[in-house]
Amino acid sequence: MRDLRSFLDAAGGAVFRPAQALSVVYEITALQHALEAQGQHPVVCVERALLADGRHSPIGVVCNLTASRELTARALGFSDHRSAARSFAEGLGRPIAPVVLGRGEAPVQQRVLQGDACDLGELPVLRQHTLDPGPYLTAAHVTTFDPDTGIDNTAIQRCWVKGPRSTSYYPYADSHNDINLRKFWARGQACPVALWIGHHPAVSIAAQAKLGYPESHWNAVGGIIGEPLRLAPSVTHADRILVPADAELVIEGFAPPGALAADGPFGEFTGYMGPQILAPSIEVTAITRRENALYHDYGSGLSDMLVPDNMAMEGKLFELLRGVAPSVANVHVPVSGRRFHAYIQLCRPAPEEPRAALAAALQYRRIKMALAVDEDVDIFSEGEMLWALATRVQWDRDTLTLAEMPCSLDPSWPAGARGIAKLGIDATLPVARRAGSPRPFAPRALAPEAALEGARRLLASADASRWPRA
Amino acid sequence: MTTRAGAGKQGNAIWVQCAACAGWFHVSEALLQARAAKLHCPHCHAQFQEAQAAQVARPC
Repeated sequence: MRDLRSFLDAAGGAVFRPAQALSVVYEITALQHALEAQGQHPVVCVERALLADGRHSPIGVVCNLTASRELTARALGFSDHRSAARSFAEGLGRPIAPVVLGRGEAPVQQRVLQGDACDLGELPVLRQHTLDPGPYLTAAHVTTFDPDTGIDNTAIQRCWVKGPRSTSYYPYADSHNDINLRKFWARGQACPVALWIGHHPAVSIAAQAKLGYPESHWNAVGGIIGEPLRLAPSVTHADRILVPADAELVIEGFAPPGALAADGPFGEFTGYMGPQILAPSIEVTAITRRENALYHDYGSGLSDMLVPDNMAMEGKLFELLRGVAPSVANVHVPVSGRRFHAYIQLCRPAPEEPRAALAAALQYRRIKMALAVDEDVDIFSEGEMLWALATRVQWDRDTLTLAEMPCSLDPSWPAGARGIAKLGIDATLPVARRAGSPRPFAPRALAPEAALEGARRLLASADASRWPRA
Repeated sequence: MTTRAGAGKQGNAIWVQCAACAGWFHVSEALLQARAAKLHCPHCHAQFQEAQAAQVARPC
C-alpha cells in the first residue's frame, strides 16, 4: 500500500525538516524558491507550520515533494529518471482497476467534519506569491464525474480559499472537469466535487494522466503504480464520487449552478502570474482527514510542480514520436523550458525522421520549441544541447516553423492572434554517405575514458568548497 | 535580408488599477466581458465593476 508517509519514510535523508517554525504566509514558499536557486531539491517537511493568524497548525506541511527528477523517478518505480519517457509509455498501457473499501476502513476518513463544523481556515494553506489574493490549495486533486456515464475525472486545479466553507477552483475551459461542470449546470444542478490532497507521488502523478473523455483515472493510476488503487466512497457523494482511501485529507462539496467569481491573479507554471479570471465556486459540505494528517502543497511554477507533469509529457511524446520516427530513443521536457520545450534524441535516424519527429512534437499540447539531436548528445544536459545548437545547425536549412498553433497559457501569445508560432530545430548530424564510413562532420574533441575515470577519482577526494563556481 | 523582429510587439496583458488602493493587477478579457462578475483587488480586497476602476490599461 502506498501513501505519502510511506514515501517520506523511504526518502529518508532526502527530506529536509526545518527545526524552526515557518509561516504559511510566504515563508514556506520562499524556502522553496531559495532551494531552487541553489539547484537543490530535497523534499521539505515543515512540522511546525504557523497559520496566517500566528497559531501553530496541528497539521504539518509537505512541499517540494516532486522537485527532484531522481526522487520522483524512484517514487514511480523507474530505475533512472532518464528512462521516464519509455517507462511512462509502457506503464499507461496496462490499466489496473481499483478496489473499493468499506465504510470505516479508509484512513482518510478517520476524522470527519460536516456542515458548519468545516473550516478551511484550520488547514495550513499556503499563500505563495506577493500578488496572490489569498491562500491557495495547489495540490488539490479535483475529482468530478460525467453525469451521463458516472465515469470519474481527476485533475489538479488551483483553489482560492475564500472562507471557512468557500473556495474557488479553476478548471481550464473545455477540460474534462469543465465539461462535467457544464453538464450538471445545463441540468440546473450543482456539480458534486471532491478535492483530495496528499498521497504518494506516484498516485498523484498517475491520477493526472491525460486520457480521453470520459475515461476513468483510477484505472490509469493502477497501471502506473502496478497495483489497484484503494478507494472509498466519499461522505457527501457516497459511490458517486470515490476518493483515494490513503490520501491525507479530502474536501467535499458542490459547485452551485452559475456561481462564478473572480479568481487570481495566481502564479502559473510559466513563472509568471496568470491574470484574474472567472472561476466556479465550491460550497464545502465535509472535510475528512487522517488523525495526524499532512498537508501537501505544490510550489507553483517551481520544479516541484513542473517535474512530474514534464515526465508524464515525456511518456506521451515518446509514444507519439515513435509512431512517426522509430529511431526516437528518448525525450526530455526540461524544467528550464517550463512545459514549452522538448529535447528529442534519435539513434541513427533515416534522413526524413528528424523533421517528422519535430513536426509531430510541435503538435503536442504546449510544446512550442522542439530540438532534435543524435545519441552522442546528452539531452539532460542544457550545456550539451546548447553546444549542439551552436555547432550543428544552419538556421535557414535546419528549422521548421508552424504558424497559428494552439498553446494555452503561453505568456507571449500575441493579443488577438489565433495561435502562436512554433519552432522545430534539427541539430542531428548528416548521415554517412556509405555504410561503415564516418559521418561527414568533424569528430568531437574527447579525452580517453580511462583518463577521465582517473580524473573523477582524483576530484572525488578533493575539497572543492572554496573553488570558484563561475 | 528579411526580418520581422519586434514587428507588432504590443503585449497582451490587461491591467486594472483599483480606485480604493491604487494597486494594479492584471485580468483576463473574459472576466471583463462577464459584466455580472466583480473584479477583486488582490491588494486591498475591494470588489468593483470595470467602470469603477481608476484605470484600465489595454495593450496598444
